[in-house]
Amino acid sequence: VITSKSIFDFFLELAVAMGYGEDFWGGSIPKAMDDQLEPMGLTMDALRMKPTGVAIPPKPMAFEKYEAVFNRASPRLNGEPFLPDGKVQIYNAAFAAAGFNPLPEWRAPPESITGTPELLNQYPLVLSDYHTSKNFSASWQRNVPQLREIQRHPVLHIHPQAANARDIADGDWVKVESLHGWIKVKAEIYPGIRPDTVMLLHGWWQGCRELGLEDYPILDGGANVNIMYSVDKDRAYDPLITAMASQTLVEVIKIKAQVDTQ
Amino acid sequence: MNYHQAIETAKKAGERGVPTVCGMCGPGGPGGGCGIYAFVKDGKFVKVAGMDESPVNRGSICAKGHAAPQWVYSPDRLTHPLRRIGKKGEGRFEETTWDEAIAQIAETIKKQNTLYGPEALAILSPARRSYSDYIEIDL
Repeated sequence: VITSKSIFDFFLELAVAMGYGEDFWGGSIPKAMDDQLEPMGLTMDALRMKPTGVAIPPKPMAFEKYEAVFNRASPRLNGEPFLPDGKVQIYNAAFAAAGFNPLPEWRAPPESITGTPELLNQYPLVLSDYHTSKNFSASWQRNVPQLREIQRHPVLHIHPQAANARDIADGDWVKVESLHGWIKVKAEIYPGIRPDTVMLLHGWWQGCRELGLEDYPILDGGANVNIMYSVDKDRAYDPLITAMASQTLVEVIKIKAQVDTQ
Repeated sequence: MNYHQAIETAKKAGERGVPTVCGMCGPGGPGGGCGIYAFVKDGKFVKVAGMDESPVNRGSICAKGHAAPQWVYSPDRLTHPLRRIGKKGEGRFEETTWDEAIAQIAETIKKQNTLYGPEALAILSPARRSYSDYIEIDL
């Protein structure tokens, strides 16, 4: 018997068990829903009488409301506006106060064509990854057979020139190798990418039992693009927001057919 | 399809048509995704159709939406709360009840609150608010 619970039920019940019931509608989902619908003059019972929902027209668009927008309380805990002077700041006073460069500053990624030309003999191509696809949500749902049948394997987009130079045909399995690790994916010949750059969809790790596809290794030999990048704490991250430089240099090598039995 | 078509389609197939919201992606889920009709046969969610009346998707539905029943009944899905009984990473769990699970989590968090203070727990949720907001409180 499946005893799955909605995530909202879980958090409301946990809040009640912690002693915060008063702030969490006493654990009642219908009460929480009624509370959220109240500004629209609706209740859950009234909404249920309209099985296809109620379309509420958006408010008329207001233009040139810079002053109101710039001074609006932010969702930060102290409620201060994100733009303290009521202006967009190119010279960012908040960054300066925290000890960072107040002006935008270009920093080379840990490995790049211009930053580390000494690596180009071994790793001549730029690798990056993207996160949006038609068939999957981010890095999950690879285990749903109907979706996995549409895209069975991770593919590397590679320009025809770069592929030809490496004797790589569309659909070949390839090894993509950087200073930090290697992954095994299929080549997709793709004229819409720069000849010096290759890219793939992130988030490949799950197998699909129904289709007999096993999970991928998380480290070398799988399809986990995260292992391809530097994690040097001084060079790989933006110092303010800790976003990672999802870019490195790689070589792409065709894997011969006999190796490709997994 | 529209509401009447959904009811008719369901009736012919011995199913129940349930107007609801798709939960297969980020913009979806409760709070404003694509309108769908979910079809239920003998208590089992069997298929999905896009809802014409929804201003979000106007009757269309993507591959993820169509695959929703496989997602719901996936053999990988956890169907009970599980309590870890081995060491971390060992992968040993036992089934427990929701009442026990919630009581144990609440007790653990309350104990951590007493021992280490409320900052011992952080929950990542898109409130458009950064972690530093929470860290700053105590500085």
